[in-house]
Amino acid sequence: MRIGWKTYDDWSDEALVNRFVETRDLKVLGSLYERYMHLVLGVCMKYLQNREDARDAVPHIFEKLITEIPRHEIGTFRSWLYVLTKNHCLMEIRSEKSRHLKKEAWEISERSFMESGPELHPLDEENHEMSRVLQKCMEQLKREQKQCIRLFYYEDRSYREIASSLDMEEKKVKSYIQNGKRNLKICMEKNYDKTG
Amino acid sequence: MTRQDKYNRGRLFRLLDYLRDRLSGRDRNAMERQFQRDPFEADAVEGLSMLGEEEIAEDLARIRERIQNRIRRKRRIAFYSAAAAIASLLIVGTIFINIEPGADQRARSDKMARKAAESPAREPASGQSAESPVTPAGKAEQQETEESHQTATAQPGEEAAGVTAEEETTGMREERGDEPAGQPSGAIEFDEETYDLSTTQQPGVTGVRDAAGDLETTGEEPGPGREPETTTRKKASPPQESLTTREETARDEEIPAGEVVEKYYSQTHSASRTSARATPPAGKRIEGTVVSAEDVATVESEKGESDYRYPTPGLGMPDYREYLAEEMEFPGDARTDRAVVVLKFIVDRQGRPVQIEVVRSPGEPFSQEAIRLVEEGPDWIPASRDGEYSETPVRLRMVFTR
Repeated sequence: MRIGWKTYDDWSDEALVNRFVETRDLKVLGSLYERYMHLVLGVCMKYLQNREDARDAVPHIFEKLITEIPRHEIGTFRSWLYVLTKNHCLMEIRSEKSRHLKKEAWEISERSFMESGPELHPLDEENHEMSRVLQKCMEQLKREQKQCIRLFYYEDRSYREIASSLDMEEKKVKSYIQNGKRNLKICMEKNYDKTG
Repeated sequence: MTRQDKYNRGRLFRLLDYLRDRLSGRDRNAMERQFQRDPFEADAVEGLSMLGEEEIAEDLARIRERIQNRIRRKRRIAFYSAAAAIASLLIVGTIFINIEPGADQRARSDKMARKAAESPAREPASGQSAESPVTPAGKAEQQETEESHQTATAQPGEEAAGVTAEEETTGMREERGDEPAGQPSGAIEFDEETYDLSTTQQPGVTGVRDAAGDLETTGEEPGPGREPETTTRKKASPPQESLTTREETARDEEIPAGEVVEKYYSQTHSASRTSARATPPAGKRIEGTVVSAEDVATVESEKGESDYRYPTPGLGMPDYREYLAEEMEFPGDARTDRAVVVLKFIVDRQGRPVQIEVVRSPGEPFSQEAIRLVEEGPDWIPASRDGEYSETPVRLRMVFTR
């Protein structure tokens, strides 16, 4: 954030969070938020489906951060922010509908912010030679899921390429990959537990 | 610049490249892999894809400006408060400085000076009459010097403006923090008979595995299905329309909602007291139920034992239900229009549903979809007893309708 004072570019998210909690310096928070503003805008756009609303929501979420950050133990700021953003949008949608608002609901829902970093799937590991278990589980997938996963993870095809080569919508491709991944994971855990 | 920061910035341009289709197939794949891992980015891309590149840049610039103004304002307030503090140390009895606009104060001290000249006793509020026994004339003079001091050092006018601005934003924040209670769930009825509260029940690991095994071997892809007719879907309609739609929905749901909720909760309560598994209220739609978080809290503390809390969705039940309604895909090839799935699972320490078991389901596609929803869904708050983590299973009943 170009504000003219010291920049915090070389700080980690978590260091900035701590710094902000200590000093309550908004510039610190601003530097942190700057890193995610575009993602927050995108998520708001997805949920609110309206450009003006999304644009307004981003500074509102900043306001929320000012009060919420000191009140929570934040593990991974990124995932915490994601939950906060989604929550804000859902609430925004509902406040369109009814205006008799309850503060407590907020309290409850924010008590819950828990963080789980981006989930790591066996397929996401950089060096993925197919293990025997993985191979076996792949065989058990439904045809479409198998195809999509193979093309996506082993032939590095984009959603779009897969969609056109299998003649289906991109949306379907995404969901096949997602569901296939899930099934693989379940299958692998099961087999892993059996042998281990 | 750290790696992380570089990454974040580079990432924005990458995202734009992705959205504007300036990447090779392989690079697209790399981005998409990242999306698979990172729901934040995946959601964001979906949203940003609705805007043009210039629009994104423009919006980000405007947002940045607003936030920077916010930051500056806060800093200015801090600066002037400090200046004010110093000034008030220098000058005995300056009690207005943080409160009153300068102009107002000037007028007042003029008036005060005049009054003081006539009768010193009539001015108790000046804040200095008690300590500084000055003659009326002397006092008026002092007031005036004091006044000019203030203007010089603290610029009370601007300071006051800063304070007002701060109050405004606080007000705004409070308003924003408020919580609407409307509940637009359309396609999924959701019922916490579901919340089986018997704490003794620990699902056998084998049972769970079996359920998971079923899923994995006979797994079937839930078809595309029709999109559920929910308000969350409706919001996808063009902006000018969406407002009316939302209003209509609100009106539709307003009256029956309260009634249903009460029934619904009293049922949950009794279930929790007796630990008996009440039969699910057949066909009862909880559509549009207004569930305030307060209710949820009451239900939580209803549990007779020590301080027991059973698992609840992190977002609160209404949001969770909304999530389900929005994300649900009714299996396309199903021959029925309505299906009930009951899942049982444990919320682990990280708040993730694990050991998901299908208690009841009309068929594989439904089980799969239900499991998908729970698994990919938002975090839960795990059960706890006296603040300690507890591995109590929770039952979740979902009604699919199309």
